[in-house]
Amino acid sequence: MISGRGRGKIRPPRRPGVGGHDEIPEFETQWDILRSALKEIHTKNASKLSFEQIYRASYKIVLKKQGDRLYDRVREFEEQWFGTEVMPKIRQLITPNLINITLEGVAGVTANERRTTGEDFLRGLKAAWEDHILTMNMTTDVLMYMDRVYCTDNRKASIFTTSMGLFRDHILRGRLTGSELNTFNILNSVILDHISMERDGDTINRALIRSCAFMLEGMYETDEENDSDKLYLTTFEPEFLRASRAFYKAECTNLLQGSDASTWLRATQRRLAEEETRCYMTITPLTVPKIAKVVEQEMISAHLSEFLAMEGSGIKAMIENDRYEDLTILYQLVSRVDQSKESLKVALQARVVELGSDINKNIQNIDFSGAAAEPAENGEAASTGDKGKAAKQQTQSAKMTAAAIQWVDEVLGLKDKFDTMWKKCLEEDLILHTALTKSFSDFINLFPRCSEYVSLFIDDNLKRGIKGKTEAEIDEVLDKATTLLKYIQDRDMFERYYKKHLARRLLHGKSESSDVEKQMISRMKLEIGSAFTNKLEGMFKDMTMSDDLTSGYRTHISNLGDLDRKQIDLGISVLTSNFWPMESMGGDASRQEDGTQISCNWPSEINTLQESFKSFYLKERNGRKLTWLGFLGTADVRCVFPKIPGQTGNLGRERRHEISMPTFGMIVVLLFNELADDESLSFEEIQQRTNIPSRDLARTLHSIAVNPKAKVLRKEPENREVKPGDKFFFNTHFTSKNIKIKAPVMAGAVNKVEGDEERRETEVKNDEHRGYVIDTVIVRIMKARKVYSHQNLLMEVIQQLAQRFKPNVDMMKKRIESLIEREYMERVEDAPVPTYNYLA
Amino acid sequence: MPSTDHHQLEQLASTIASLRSGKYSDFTIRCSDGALIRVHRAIVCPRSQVLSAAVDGAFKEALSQEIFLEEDEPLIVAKMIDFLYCLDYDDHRLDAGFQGTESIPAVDETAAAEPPTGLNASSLLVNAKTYIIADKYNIQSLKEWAVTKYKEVVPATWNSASFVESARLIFENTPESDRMLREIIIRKASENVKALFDRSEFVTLLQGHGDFTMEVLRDVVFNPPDDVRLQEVELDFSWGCVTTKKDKRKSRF
Repeated sequence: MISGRGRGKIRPPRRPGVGGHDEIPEFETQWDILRSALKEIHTKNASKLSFEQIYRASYKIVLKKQGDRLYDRVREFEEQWFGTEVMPKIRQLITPNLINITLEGVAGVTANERRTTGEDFLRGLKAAWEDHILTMNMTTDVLMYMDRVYCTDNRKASIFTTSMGLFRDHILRGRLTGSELNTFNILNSVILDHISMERDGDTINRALIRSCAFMLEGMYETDEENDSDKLYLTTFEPEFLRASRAFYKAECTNLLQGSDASTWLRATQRRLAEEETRCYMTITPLTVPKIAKVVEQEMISAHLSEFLAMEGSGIKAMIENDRYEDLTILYQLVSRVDQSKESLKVALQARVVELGSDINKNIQNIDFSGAAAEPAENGEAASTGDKGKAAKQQTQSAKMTAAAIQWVDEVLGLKDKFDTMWKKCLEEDLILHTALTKSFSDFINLFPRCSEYVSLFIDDNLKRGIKGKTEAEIDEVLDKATTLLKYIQDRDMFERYYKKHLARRLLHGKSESSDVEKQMISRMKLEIGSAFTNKLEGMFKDMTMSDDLTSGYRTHISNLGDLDRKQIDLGISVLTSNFWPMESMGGDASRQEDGTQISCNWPSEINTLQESFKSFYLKERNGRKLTWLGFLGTADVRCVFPKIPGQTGNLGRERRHEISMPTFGMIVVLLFNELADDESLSFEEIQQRTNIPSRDLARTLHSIAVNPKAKVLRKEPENREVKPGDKFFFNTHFTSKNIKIKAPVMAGAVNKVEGDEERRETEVKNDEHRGYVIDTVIVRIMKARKVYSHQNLLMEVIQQLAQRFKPNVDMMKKRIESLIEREYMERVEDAPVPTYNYLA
Repeated sequence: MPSTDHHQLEQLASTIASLRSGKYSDFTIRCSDGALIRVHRAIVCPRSQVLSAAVDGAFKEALSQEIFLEEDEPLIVAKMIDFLYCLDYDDHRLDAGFQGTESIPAVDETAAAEPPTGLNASSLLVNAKTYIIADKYNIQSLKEWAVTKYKEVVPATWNSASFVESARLIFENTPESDRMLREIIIRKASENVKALFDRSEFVTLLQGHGDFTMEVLRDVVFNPPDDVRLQEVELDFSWGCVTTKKDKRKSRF
């Protein structure tokens, strides 16, 4: 044996099991140590205590399996402490004023007074809380072994948690004497009161409130301490949100009554920012999303449409006056409350359609004045007016063309305006972009002449507009054109006009740059598809081919060495009839009922030339048919005017002029070669000899017999109209300063707005064409489906044609009827829904 | 690369170990025998929540930068500090002359009664007490280390008064829920219950500590100290983990 002395050191002084009655005093001894220590800790005198000693006391108690008694004793101690030391101090701070504020809101107490008493209370509570935390941290330290062993083994909440619960129940939920209220009610109302003071512009002690909110965040409803059970979340926050909701509801109503939308936007934006700052600085970041939602609901959603509709400051005025800042805020606010931005979308769309319709209406008004002069314009060549009227017509149609361009410009301007707005204020929002595009498309397509006008716009630019412009500028023009094109629904109508305008540009050499023309085509190809541009490309191909043919034929002729023949220099354009819009180029006048071309009587020289070219052409292209279109080309005719005896000056000399005139003009003039100077031909005689359709003939004669610049023929009676029965002489007295003279282009060769009648014709033709297209599509679908219901058939037709135009339902029904008549398909008799059967 | 890391780690460990000398110390542990152990808060506190509470708190210790471990055995306190610096401590297992701590009853008859293994049985006591102090100051890694060391020594030294004494210490000074060392002691006692019955200390212990007696008895009843059978049970268990019943039956044939 060494000694028994040491054994006592590691073993408890009294051996266990010796006597149960001994344990109680043992426990009491240790508890005495602990109790006095706890008291010292609570009175902030811990620095005198030995941590080791207190820890050892609790360690021993727990080892002796008396953790439960210790736990309960500590609990009792805390409860007693709250009751005798903490609560009385807090009660003192709760003045009758505070209770009144809580019960009745603000009544008869000045803000300053309220603030002072409130702050005193908060400060007192905060101090109590901080003391509590401090002492409980120390208590937890000395009772660490109990927490670790006893509480863990018995699934008890740690002593810290328990003490938090005690603080909650005894201090915060402690009923106040003589009142239904507890400290909590007072606390909430004081904080809310302070916040409302701050909202009204007063300065408050944010840090103080922040620490009280922090206190609530640190406590839980139960000792399980679930995050969702924080007292802050269960008690304060709902009250706060409720009060805020009421506040903002009132504020928004005030704004609605007394301010404009611009003020409202800024107030809302400011309030949102304020609330966020308040959460970070004064209460807790936990509330940020919730309070934001409250403000959003009350300030934005609740009266959004009213504010948008405000006269002079609502969305209309914002757009009108380019109030970009307002719009930006508006967009930000609306995006907060509604991901689809429905209200903003609707408002913007309505605005676009409204402004667009204004543009449409303006242009249509101009149209109307033009339409009044319409019949006269049609009769331009039919000789029913005088000089002044004709000039007026000319300006009238020019005006209308200008109006078309103006329409396009205005539409583009509107588009620019909204684009700028979209970029600047709407953060390039995709939903809104789609909506705007749709509204643009809507109002553009509401305008019946959109296709024609857009094509005219392009025509105008390609003829004149791009002269002297840089590539970037040209690109911009093309971009604009493409943008508009995207909006147009009736693509077939556009194609019709574009072909017409393009044909004139190409045949009359009016196009400024074939490069740009091709760029435009390739853009359209990208935008609408190659089916659309096939024919247009074909037209270009024809033009290039014709150039080759012309030079090829020239070489061919010179190789023949046939120098005897009177040389006629031929520039030829061979047009593939499929690609070119014959009727709109003026070919319909010379067409018979069955659609074949009336051929005129060509002079023999020309005939020879035609034959010679034909054999050259067909050498390599067997089986093709060439039709000569007299109404399209021009001819340079060299005329010799004899000297007139007895006249001096110009008339006294022989004069040679090279006159460029329509091909038909050449045919007519050649007739006069065989006549004496004083012989004449009547209109009918000319027609009989040449077999030129009378309308074309009238036009031709107008340009060479009426127009003073190239008056090769003289007419009796001498007026500005060409009528049947008129007589024509060779104009021996013709003089001109120029050797080369260009007879004015025939009416119809200039691209301009169609008259109402032409327009109707075009529509009829287009509808006719659409009918064929619909027929084809229906037959193709039925062939694939064999049996198909009416509804599905219509839907599929619409879908397949969407790229080209929007088919009319009536028209589709008519086409179906017609196809049934023609026995392409039949009705299925006993089908539950209308159904068709394909007949092969 | 790994070797470099290893090397660096070793260097760091030896640096820390050298601090055991007390150089640069900023805190003092005073033992009941008056001995002063100078330590470093940065090394001691992160490992022991209790010591860190003493150092960080607003108590006397924090002001004086000294803690007086009034009722802890100085030798064992030193073992604890050794471990904090060197991750090991000497349990005197090979030290034949060492008679353990002052509290170990000198048992003259040990030399005759205990098997001549060459291991010092009183190391069981050192490890058990270290285990207890590790629990008190909440140093989990030291508890585990003490168990490891105890397990190493016990097969050769169980038949000794020290074994019985270590059992008594553990049952009196650790919480019931703390099973680590208890399991080992119970198992050892139940395996060798016959031999141990020859020891009067063992009988006294059984008489005085009902919980110990009950646990030994339960182990005797449910886990008979039959090495062969024990092995079989273990094997069975491992099969159960990785194979199906069918496989198990097959492999038995």
